[in-house]
Amino acid sequence: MNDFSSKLKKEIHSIEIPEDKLSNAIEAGIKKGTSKRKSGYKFIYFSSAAVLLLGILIGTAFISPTMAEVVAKIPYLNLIFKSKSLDMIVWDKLNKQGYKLSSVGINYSPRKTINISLDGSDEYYNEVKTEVQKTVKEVLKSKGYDSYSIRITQQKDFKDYELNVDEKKEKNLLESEVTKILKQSKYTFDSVFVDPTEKSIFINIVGQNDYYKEVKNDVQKVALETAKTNHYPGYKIKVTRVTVEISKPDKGSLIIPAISEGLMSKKEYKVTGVGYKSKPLKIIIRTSIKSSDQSAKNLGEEIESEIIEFLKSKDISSVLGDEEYEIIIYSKDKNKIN
Amino acid sequence: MLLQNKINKAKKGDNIAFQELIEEEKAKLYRTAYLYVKDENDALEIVQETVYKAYIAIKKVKEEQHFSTWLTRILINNALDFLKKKSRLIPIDSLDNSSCIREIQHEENMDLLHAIDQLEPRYKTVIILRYYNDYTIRQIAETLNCPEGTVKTNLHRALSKLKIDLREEYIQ
Repeated sequence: MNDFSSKLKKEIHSIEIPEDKLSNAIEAGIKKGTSKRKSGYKFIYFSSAAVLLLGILIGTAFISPTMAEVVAKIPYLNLIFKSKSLDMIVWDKLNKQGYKLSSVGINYSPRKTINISLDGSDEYYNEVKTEVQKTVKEVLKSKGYDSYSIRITQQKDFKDYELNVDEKKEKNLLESEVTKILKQSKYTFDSVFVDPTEKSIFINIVGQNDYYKEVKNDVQKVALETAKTNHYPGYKIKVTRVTVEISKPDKGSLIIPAISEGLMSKKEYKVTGVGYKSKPLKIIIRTSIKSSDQSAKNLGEEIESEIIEFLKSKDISSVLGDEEYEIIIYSKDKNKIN
Repeated sequence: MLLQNKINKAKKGDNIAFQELIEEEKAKLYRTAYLYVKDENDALEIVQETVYKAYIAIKKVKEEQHFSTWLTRILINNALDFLKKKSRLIPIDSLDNSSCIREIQHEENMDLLHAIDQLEPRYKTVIILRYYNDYTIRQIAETLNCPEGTVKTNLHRALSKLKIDLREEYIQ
């Protein structure tokens, strides 16, 4: 076992260390620490973005969510397509029963979990925890889903963080300085946003993608230099090219959520990941079965036929038209099994 | 003794002492974070967050507690949090590409790391702590805040998984 340990150490030591960047990161960490504050806002920021995205998907894909419970004969995936997504169902159910919900989320990795976050005091949390768990279990059972574990957590109170005087100064100074320099260098951009608590500068480039690729690194460098010369090292520069143009959702994004929920929620499919590429439409499924397993081929075929049946159905063929598609199903060891 | 001095100074708010403490640990911090996320920027972000959290909580370090163990615990919690958040972002679209890229990076000479990379985070954690950081079972239990029995079980399972995976690779 010593041999194992020394071999492991050797391999880990071959991971290169980016000295400069590491020093910057440490410095930034300490600086952030000196302007002491509670953390936690980051997570909320993240989860609200996820909810927003879900909202858009649901808004576009489910024309009539109310006609969820439909009679038999409808293929499994179609049923899900017509229904609301699982997290919305759980949310509605708990909301209706009057629980103080903070968020509902679904994780697929490393293990399939439904996360329920509750608002309210410690007593409230302890009081309703088991009831909530029971309700969620019932919802899962009614859908026939058996692959999730349920996790109930408490959302701790926090206040929106307000910048203090120094941070405001830092923000204003950097925003105007960076804007000035970028203008001087004739880059086209529409916003510079400085977050002194996160030590990040966000710059949004305006122009074609080629232009963005061409200038991205330079803009990053210029902004970093500007921050440094103004005695604010350790900043991370995030350059984006976001347009407000609303694009039509591609076909994949309409049909993938249903496939994903349907296949991931039942153990029998052994599905661990669902992805897609559009133009041409390519649906990629990852499973946890090994290709050496005798039933691997069967499972691959079963999943494939489930998807094909779904894609051929009236609901979807009207969306998909006669667009070609490809379905690839991988085993755990990354072999194709369909 | 010197180390204990530094820790005491840092606890009293001495930035230089704190910086020196981190300096000694930084390579290990970065590499451990990297083992979890396999990406330079992500690893740096985790280190930054760890330093930040360590800085605001340094007063809570008990004297008998080893600074390094304490710091490692913060790092691992950060790394696991990071993975958890990230896992919700990955599934769509990038799935196909990313798995390809990962494979290419590892083909060079890191077969053991590659095998460890396949482990679930909790197994990965015990392997890293035991064989990279040389922690005892007891230290691991303290770091992860769980019973020693659990550590032993996880270690055992992790090793047997590794053996299976490695063996399969040698056969091919």
